[in-house]
Amino acid sequence: MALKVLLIEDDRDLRQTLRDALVVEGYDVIASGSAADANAVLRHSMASDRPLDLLVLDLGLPDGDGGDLLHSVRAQYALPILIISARHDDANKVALLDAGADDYLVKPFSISELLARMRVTLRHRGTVVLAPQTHYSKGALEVDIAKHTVRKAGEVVHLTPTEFKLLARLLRQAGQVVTHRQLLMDVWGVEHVDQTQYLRLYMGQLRAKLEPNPTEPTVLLTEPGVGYRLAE
Amino acid sequence: MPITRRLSVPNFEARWPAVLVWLCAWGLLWRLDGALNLGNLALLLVLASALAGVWLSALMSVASSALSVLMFNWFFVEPRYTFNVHLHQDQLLLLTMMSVSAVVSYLMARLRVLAELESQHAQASEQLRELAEQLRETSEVVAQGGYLQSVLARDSGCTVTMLLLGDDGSNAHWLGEPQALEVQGLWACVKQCGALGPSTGRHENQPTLFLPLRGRNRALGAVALRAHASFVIQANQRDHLQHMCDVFGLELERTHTLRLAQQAKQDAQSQSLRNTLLTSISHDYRTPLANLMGAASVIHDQAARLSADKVTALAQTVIDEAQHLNRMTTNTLQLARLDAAPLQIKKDWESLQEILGSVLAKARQRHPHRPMRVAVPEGLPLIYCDAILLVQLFDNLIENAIKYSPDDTTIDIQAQAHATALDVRVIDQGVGIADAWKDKVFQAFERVHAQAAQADATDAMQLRRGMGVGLAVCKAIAKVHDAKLWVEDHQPQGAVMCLQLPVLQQPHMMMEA
Repeated sequence: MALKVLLIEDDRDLRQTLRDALVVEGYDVIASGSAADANAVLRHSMASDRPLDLLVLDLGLPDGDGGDLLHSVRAQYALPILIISARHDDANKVALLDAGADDYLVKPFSISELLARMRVTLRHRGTVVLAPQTHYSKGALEVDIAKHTVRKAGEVVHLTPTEFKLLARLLRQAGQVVTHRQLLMDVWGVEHVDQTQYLRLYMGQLRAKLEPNPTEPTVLLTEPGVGYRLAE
Repeated sequence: MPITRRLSVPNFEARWPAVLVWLCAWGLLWRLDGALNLGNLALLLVLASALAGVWLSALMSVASSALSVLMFNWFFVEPRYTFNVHLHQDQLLLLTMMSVSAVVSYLMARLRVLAELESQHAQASEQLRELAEQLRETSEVVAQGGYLQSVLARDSGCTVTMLLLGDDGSNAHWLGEPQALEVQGLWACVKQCGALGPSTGRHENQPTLFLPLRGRNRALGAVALRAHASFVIQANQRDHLQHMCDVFGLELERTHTLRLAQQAKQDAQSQSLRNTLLTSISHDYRTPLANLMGAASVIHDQAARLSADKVTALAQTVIDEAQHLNRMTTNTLQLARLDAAPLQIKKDWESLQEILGSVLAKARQRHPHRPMRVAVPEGLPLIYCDAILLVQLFDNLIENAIKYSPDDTTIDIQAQAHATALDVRVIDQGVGIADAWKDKVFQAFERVHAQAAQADATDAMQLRRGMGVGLAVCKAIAKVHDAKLWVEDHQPQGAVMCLQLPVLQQPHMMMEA
């Protein structure tokens, strides 16, 4: 059955373009141009026998902040949310990721970028109830969280406990951005959320051990000003 | 200490030292009577008169001296116990003594009054200085007014109300609760920029004294001092009160001027910003827009007659030009943002390797066939910066290097650490940048004159094409990071964009065994 997507975007042309593109890709799309309308759709749809699978949310809405909508959705439903925002929302973007948005995309973006992000977000929608991903492999790298092993081109790579925790945390949301704050909180603890320097150091070490060229990483990607992303 | 007491005629609480002096003098006179002649005894009296003058007013001093002379005549001058004087010499002696005593008393008293006045002046200027200092401590006009109001009320014992004019001369602010008549008086006082009320020569029948808060050439407000029954403000006290008002008036004018200057500066800045944005739109946006329009309209109108490859190529043009516009918009907005609020940036500890890595990933995506070589040594110190801004800076430098050098030449990116700085170089093998342009390339829209542009497209002109905001933003970003950005020549050919970032004291690291 087609996946059901609620697309909230206030610009009519962009909404139409995205809607058409998503329909072509086989999604069942409900498009909405305002927070009020989106709320009505959410109430109706989430109670029906075919609830929504994904929310694509634009931050700037005519009748309210997309952020407020995000908070209310997060409080009520376990629905994956993909934020699309204009570049000047940088600070806001991080706050929304920390508040529970699954990923974000900066405008302008190409349709292929949007589809890729949607696929990743949809794949992670089960993380709350299903067992998290425990195995990861990309290029020459193989990680098995359960067995606590990391191999690069077949060779065992020795990681320190913190390095392993950091890698495992990124892997839990492979393909999605994980903010600095989330990483620091989950790996180092809540009292270290401002110590970004730890992240820089350990990401550097991880890259040195896992990447063929640490300056141009292919697995441990940087999202400047936001966080890190484990490539899919 | 209330000023009323300090400014009134000095009173003489301490009269007893004068009495003591006279008593001592008379005691001595009785003791020395017979031992010394009359002339010498008389000198004692002169001395006593001079000393007593220190504690007595001029009148009392003269009176006491006269009394002494009479008593001296009675007790010591032959024939004794009469006021008769036998000898002419004694007569002269008494007369001289009398006049010297009088003169000395008068001079002493005068000196004391002057000294008293002097000290009053000193106190008054000390008070003015204190007032000026207090006013400077807060820039809040109403708080300043409130302070002056309390000082005036304390010093004059009057009920003080105050009118403060707004910046444009109208929208007034009132302190205290003026009566209807006082409201009129305050406005009149401001209008005439002079004092009104008792003993000012104007509206003398008014019980309330109005003083203007004078600036250099206009009043910025006024105060009304409503005296309580039968209380009179004296002239010198009024002057002092006026001085205090003037101190505040000048302070008001100063803050007003300061505000005007700041406003003018902001206006000029936003004007220059507006010009920058307008130039950006008129110069740099039309070309990509024209390309976009062209490609899109061809697809729209002729798609049926074009090959699929051709349509794809046109669509690619649309995407490329849209990306180009996006980059320019981002740059222009960033320039405007940095111009308007250079201090509102979010700095954190960042790794240069990560920043260069993410910039390169994007550049390679845009230019998949362009050779790029990166040399970033391991273990570089962290830099304290806004990652998004630095990404934008390097992105612009690399994009420029790609744009202004032949397609098959390599772009080199090199990082190097020194003791207190990190150097990053972006090297291309293009035509390079002429010395005359080395500084100008960083100025937004520093362009050759329009006529020259039409005459011929020189290398420098070619070089300037489309560089409007890109490097200007780089410069602005470098500036907010206290970094240096400059151009060097590359041998045998090409340009080197050099960025030198300061390295700060590194943050605390928690190491793991």
